[in-house]
Amino acid sequence: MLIGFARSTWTGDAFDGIGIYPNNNFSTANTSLGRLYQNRDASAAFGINTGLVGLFGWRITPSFVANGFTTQRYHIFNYASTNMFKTAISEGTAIGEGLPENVTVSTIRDNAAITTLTLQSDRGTGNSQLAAGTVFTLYGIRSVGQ
Amino acid sequence: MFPIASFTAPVGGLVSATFSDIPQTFRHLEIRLLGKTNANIGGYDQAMWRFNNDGTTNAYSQAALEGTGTSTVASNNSGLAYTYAYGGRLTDGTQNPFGASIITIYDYASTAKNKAWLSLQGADLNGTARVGIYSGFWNNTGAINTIQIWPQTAGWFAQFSRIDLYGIG
Repeated sequence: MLIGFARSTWTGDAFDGIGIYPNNNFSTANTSLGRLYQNRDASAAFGINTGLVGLFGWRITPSFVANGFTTQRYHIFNYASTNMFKTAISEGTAIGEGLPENVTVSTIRDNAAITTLTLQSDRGTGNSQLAAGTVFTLYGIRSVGQ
Repeated sequence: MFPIASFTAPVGGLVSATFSDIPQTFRHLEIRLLGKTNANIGGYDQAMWRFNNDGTTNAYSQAALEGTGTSTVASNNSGLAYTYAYGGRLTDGTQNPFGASIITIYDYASTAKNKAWLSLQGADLNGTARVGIYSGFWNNTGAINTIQIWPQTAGWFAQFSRIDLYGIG
């Protein structure tokens, strides 16, 4: 379980996002997602994205929202398995405009066990960084016998 | 969060999982379900459950807010018409990805409250997905000591499906 409280240095007028890259894979478009979220007009919406490189769905607050941070909780199931694609479900909220509430399901189409998670701005590290005060905490959840 | 018991579907699958003699020493329960079923039924299935083997009419009700296909759907299966509850999102046997659900059952050991739960659940099939939140109600004040879970449509949970039960202190 990955819990984050994050903010971006992005200065544009739209949201930034966090990409989660399992096993340092920045090159293969092998993830996809479905996301139920609150729209800018406060209506509910549902979106699908395919052909993603990292595990997306985590919107973070840009720098123009003073002192704003985004919370998100990611649950990556059976991460050590080598027999299945990996499924993650997450829930979160963002302060600012657009996508303030969301629940997301993502798939990583790779059977490899996850040994590394890299988190960075999905606008590219040359355009945006994770701002000071951003905190990520990774938890392991034991099963019986572990 | 303390692990209580776990089921993993073997090669031939798992028809149902029953957690029995659940310790009454925790404040809440949490189930983490990662599953798919054996049949080709259009991509998705649901897990069903019962508490304490209660299959009586009008025992359960539930509501959901879910994204499905290209739209959002709110449903309210109330009126206590059900003899079971919706327990989690599954994919079907034609898919590689598994559905994932986290279900929290509150104050399960109380003998003074009807039981309520909340779940976050989803499955993504690369171009189509379902994800949402469910809540539910068991019209019974009994302490929960048994939970039975099975696939709604298909015959069994497919190999590698797993269901973990945790106590929350």
